[in-house]
Formats: sequence, C-alpha cells, structure tokens
Amino acid sequence: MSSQPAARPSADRRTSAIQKRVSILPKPSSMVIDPSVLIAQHAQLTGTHPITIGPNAVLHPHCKISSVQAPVVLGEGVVIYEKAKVGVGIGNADTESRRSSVVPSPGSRDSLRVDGTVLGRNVVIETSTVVEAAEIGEGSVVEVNAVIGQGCVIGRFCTISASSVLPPNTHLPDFTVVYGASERRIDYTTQARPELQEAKMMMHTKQIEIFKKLVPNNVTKWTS
Amino acid sequence: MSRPSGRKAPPKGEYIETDSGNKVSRRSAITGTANITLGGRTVIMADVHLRGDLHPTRSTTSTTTSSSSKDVTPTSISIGRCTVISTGSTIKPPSRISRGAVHYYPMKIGDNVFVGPNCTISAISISSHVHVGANTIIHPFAIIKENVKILPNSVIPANMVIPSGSVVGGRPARVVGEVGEGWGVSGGGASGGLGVGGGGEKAWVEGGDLRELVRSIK
Repeated sequence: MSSQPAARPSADRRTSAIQKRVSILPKPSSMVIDPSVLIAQHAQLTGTHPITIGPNAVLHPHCKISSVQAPVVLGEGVVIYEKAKVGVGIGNADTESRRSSVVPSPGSRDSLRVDGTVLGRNVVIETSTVVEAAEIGEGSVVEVNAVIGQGCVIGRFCTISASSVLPPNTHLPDFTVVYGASERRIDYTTQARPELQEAKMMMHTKQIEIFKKLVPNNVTKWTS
Repeated sequence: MSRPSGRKAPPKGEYIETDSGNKVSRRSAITGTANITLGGRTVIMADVHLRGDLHPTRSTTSTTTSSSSKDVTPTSISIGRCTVISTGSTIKPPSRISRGAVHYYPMKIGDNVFVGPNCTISAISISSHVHVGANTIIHPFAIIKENVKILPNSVIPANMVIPSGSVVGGRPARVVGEVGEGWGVSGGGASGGLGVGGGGEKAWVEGGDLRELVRSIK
C-alpha cells in the first residue's frame, strides 16, 4: 500500500491519520485510501466510521459511500458506478436519527468484518444500486438498480442481475446468479473452470485501466 | 441534492437554454461535455447523468487522413432533436473488449425519443420516435429501431435488437406486441391523422412529435 512514491506531502498526512486512529472514538471518519485509487469528482464519502479503500479501486462521479452506521471496506479493484450507494443504513433516509441507537465499536480490527460493509477484490457495483451488505466476495457483480439488504453475505463470483432485490440477511453461496423474480441458480461453468475466473479478472483490470485513462482523478481531495 | 432545503428559487429558472433550443437542467450531472452532442430542442432534466467522459479512444488508430487526431474530440453521446431525458436517468456509453483493451463506443439517440424517469441506458443506438417507460434498464449494445415502445420497468438484455414498430416489456424484455397503425400520430399532427384515440386532448403522444412537450417545459 504505502510503498508508492512517498515523496509527496503524504508523509505528514499519514502521521495525522495515525493520530486520529490512536484517539479513535467516533469523531471524524478516518480514511485509509491507497494512492492508486481513482476517485472521480463529485464522489461522496461520508460518515463517522473508518472507510478503507484498497489499491486500484474506482469510484465514479456521484457515487456515495457512507460509514455513518458502520465501517466500509472496499477491496482491491472495486468499481462503484455513478449513483450507487454503499454502506449500512444508506438505503433509508432517516439514518441520522437512528445513529444514536447503534453502538460504535471502538476500533478493533476484527469488528470491521462483523458489522461493516466489506467488498472483496474486483467487485463491481453498478449504477443506482443500494448496497448495505455485510460482505460481498471477490469478483461479484451487482447490476443496475439492484438492492442488497443489510447483513447479506454474498459469495465469490456471484451475479446479482438488474433490478433484483435481496432481502436483509440473505446468504448466497459462491457462483450464485440471482435473476428475474429473485430466482437463483449456480453458475457451474465459472465454478468448474478457474481459467474463466482468471479471464474475468483480467477483463476487470483492463476496465480499470481505461477508467484511469478517461476519468479525471480527484483523489487528492480525500487524501489531504 | 443534499443542498439545504429549497435551493433559494433559482435565479433564472431551472433550465439553461442553448442557442439551438436545448434545455439542460442546472441540476443535471454531465461529465465530459465536449463529447456530447445535442441536436436541438432537446431537454435534459434534473439529476440526469450523461457520461460523456467515457469516450471512444480508438480514433487515433483509424485512417491516416486525420493527421490532427489530437484536436478532434471523439463523440461519445449524440442525441437528436426534440428528445426528452427525464429526471434521474443515466446515459452511459457501452464498452467491450476489443483487440485486448476495453473500448467505449459512441452511442446514438435519435429524434423525438422520450426517456422516462430513472432509466439507465447503455444502448449503442436508439432510433427516432422511441418511447422508453420509467425505470427501464437498457443493457450495453442493444439496438432499438424506430417507433418502439418500451414498457415501464423493463430490462432490455445486452445486444438485443428491437425491430421497428414493436412493443417490448418484461424482465428480460421480450417483444409483446406491435404499436399498430397510427401510433405516434397526434390529433393535430400529420394531416392524415387517422383519428387516434386518446391522443386528442394532449398536445403530444408517445412516439409522436415531442416539440410541444419540449416547448411546455420551462
């Protein structure tokens, strides 16, 4: 992560981040953002809990990440498209009023997994989706307008097709495809052929490459 | 959006009108404006996202005639005349892998197209006189021909080609009927009006000329 050219003023930034983490408590959200992240203009990161963004993640304009109720962790290469909302409680409008009832966990590392939102490597969150899931596994795709309820745990290489709605606390095994009127099946092809999975990941990295070419980066707004 | 209540009565009205009569909402979100063409008298409503920044990158490899390939801005979204894009819709050019790299492709929307609220559109081409119902999702590289009606809440799968004159709907969308004769002909429109029912009082009908509708939007 931090092995990137640290010549820039990032050094003092980092110390300030550490201070925040020492004095933790709910004050401002501590943000750990890898230098290779692409955050477009108008992307929104809000909340009181920590937000962690792994290398090569891409946040498109007008996407919203909220850690008001629980931490958010975006893995390596996560792509979040415009108007998508990620974070526990972001689906309901009255998040602010409910915040008091949620006990903020005092910064212990493993608690991130329990009550936060964790998106695995190369997860794609499409336009206008609402993701409040606890965990989404590597290589999964959440398509346009889908809604994923709180506490959902989604396995690796799943596809949640357009406009699907997953009720809270749904658990999906790896390679599940959710389609139509919340019907499900297992994508055996991808499951049986690891080379296909690799091809998907390769396509994904190429997609990120083109985003880095086309979308202006505004990451400094969030790292400084 | 999250601006503190009632944005203080915008000084000059909601829309910015261009010389060619396009009306673009001040609250729309447009990226890469240089790559977007609006044909004239087209309405872009509030909260509409146009992703013009995702433009084709191929142009440099094409013919040698354009030696000044640098200053030619590639078009990513071109929209015809009298087209209305309603609130909350997203228009994003489609992309796919070609020759080992991801490329975006220019998308084209014709004249008199009505796009309902909260649609997400990645079609490669939408012809003229198309009516897209609310909450519709059009996946990448769909081709929609003239005089098509897409019912609300449809999901058009990727690469689908919708023949002209059809009515489509469902998840995934299928052709469920034909628009029939006289569709899109408003009462006072073309002289041989064929007496379409229901279109009498309204100044515009689905699939018809949207000029009146565009005029009424202030």
